Amino acid sequence: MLKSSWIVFKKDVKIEMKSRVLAFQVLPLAGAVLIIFGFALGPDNQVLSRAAPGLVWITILLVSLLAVTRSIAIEDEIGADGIRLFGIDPGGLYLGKTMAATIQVFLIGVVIIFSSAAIFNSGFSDILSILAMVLGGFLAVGALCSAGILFGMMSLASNVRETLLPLLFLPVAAPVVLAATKVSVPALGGSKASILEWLGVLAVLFIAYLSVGTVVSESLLEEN
Amino acid sequence: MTLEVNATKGNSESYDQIPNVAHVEPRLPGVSQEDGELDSALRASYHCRWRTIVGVLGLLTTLLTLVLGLFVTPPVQVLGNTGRLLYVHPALAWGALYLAFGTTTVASLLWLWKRTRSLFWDRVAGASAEVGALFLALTLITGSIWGRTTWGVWWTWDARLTLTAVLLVLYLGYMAVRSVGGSPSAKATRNSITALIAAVDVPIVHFSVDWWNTLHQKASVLTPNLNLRVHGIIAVTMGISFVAVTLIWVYLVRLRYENMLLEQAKERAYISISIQERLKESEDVK
Amino acid sequence: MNSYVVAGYSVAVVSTAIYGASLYLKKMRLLKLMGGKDKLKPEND
Repeated sequence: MLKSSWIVFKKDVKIEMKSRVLAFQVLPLAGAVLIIFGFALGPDNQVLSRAAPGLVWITILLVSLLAVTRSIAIEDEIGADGIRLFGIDPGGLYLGKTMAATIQVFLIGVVIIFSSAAIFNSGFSDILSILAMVLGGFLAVGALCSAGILFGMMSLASNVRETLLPLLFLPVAAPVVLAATKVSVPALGGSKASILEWLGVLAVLFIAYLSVGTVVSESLLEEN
Repeated sequence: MTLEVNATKGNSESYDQIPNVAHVEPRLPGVSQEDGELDSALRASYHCRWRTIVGVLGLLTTLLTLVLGLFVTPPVQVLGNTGRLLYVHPALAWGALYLAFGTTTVASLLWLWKRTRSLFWDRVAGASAEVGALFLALTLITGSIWGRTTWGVWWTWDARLTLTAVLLVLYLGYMAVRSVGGSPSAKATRNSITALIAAVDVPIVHFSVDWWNTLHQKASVLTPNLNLRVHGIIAVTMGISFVAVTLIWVYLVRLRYENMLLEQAKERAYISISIQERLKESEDVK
Repeated sequence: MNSYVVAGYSVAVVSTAIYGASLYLKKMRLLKLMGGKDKLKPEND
């Protein structure tokens, strides 16, 4: 399983290196979303810097949704039957795709967070909070992608369409966004209360979604 | 005659286009396991009489709840007349959050577990979720009405309210997944996995919104120091309302289950018709 | 009696009744389409 997950991971990363869909299409879109948020809330610096963590995470949520859709679209051509035919382990496929999506969304997320600190004037506080935010951000993106790829694989095995994916994804993503926002508040200049607990919540979410996905992916692609 | 199986779904007029469904031998060449299961389930539902009894009992207890709740019971202390929603809201919440959600989760697990695998469980899970979604929506509406009179707002970002709203979205997502096509057992697996993910999600959302609230908003509006002493006729009426909701839930789930059976049988008959027509066409060509 | 209470009770009762009635009507329609209830009766009974 781990071997096939590594193969899938490398393949997905390579495809992105060549096609640059996330870098040249999704990342600019995220920037545009941040600017639109700025327009919607008005030029008041205080309001913007208070809202910054939430806005950042809604943007990252949108990015991970797009990344998941993209990641599944790559496999759409061969479909569930093709995957079975190639003899790729479904658990491995799931893990590999999740890891690839996580790394890619995480990198985009880092760019989003740093640029939002600049354009929303929230600035950064001490280095420890920033480290906590980066760690929490990785866990959060991991949780988002584990859940997203799981639903995406469901759509691969059937004709669940693009409109259904967000509906399934958002309620599962809600606690992740909540915890991730809380972890980002101190780094973006807010209060430091209970950051460790929220980091714990994110770790639990990541592990829970990833293990459910790994266990379940087998029966999702099975032939009925 | 052309058949449009998908187009006829949910459109009563187009049913008339297939007048001869009743006379079709409702079986495909080569009986699958799913076919056999559907046949025996249809046979079993023919003999079902307890649904009517449950329905009548549910209706009676509902009427009793209405009479007792609206006219007989005294105004609840502190809450006054608005407290009469005590006989509607908690019972609906019980039906949606515990009865329906629990049944859907357990039934989905029973499908996924190979030893108890039967399409029966998938239908139960779906029927239960649909009635649960209705009750949950009603819980939110009645709760909102109650909130308006007690706290002066229709909605507040309280932990329990937020969880309920997320749960409603989960229910709706599950129902949307159920409507996606495929073979019955492929659908059942997909549905069960969705229900399972929702079941994993609920405690997580519960804890995170709880923390979110307790950590950042000192007092929760849903735990005011009311010190309700529920006793006597008030307790009895509340108890009856819970029984009424449970009975109505059982009745509706059973009715929805029978609808699912008939729908499946109808689809099978359509497929059978179109196969027979194609066979006839190919014979005509010869 | 207060109008909030009436609204709460009636929205619960009426929408459940509408849902139940629509299920029942749909069942009747499906049964009719399948050729009546007797069609479902097992032959070897």
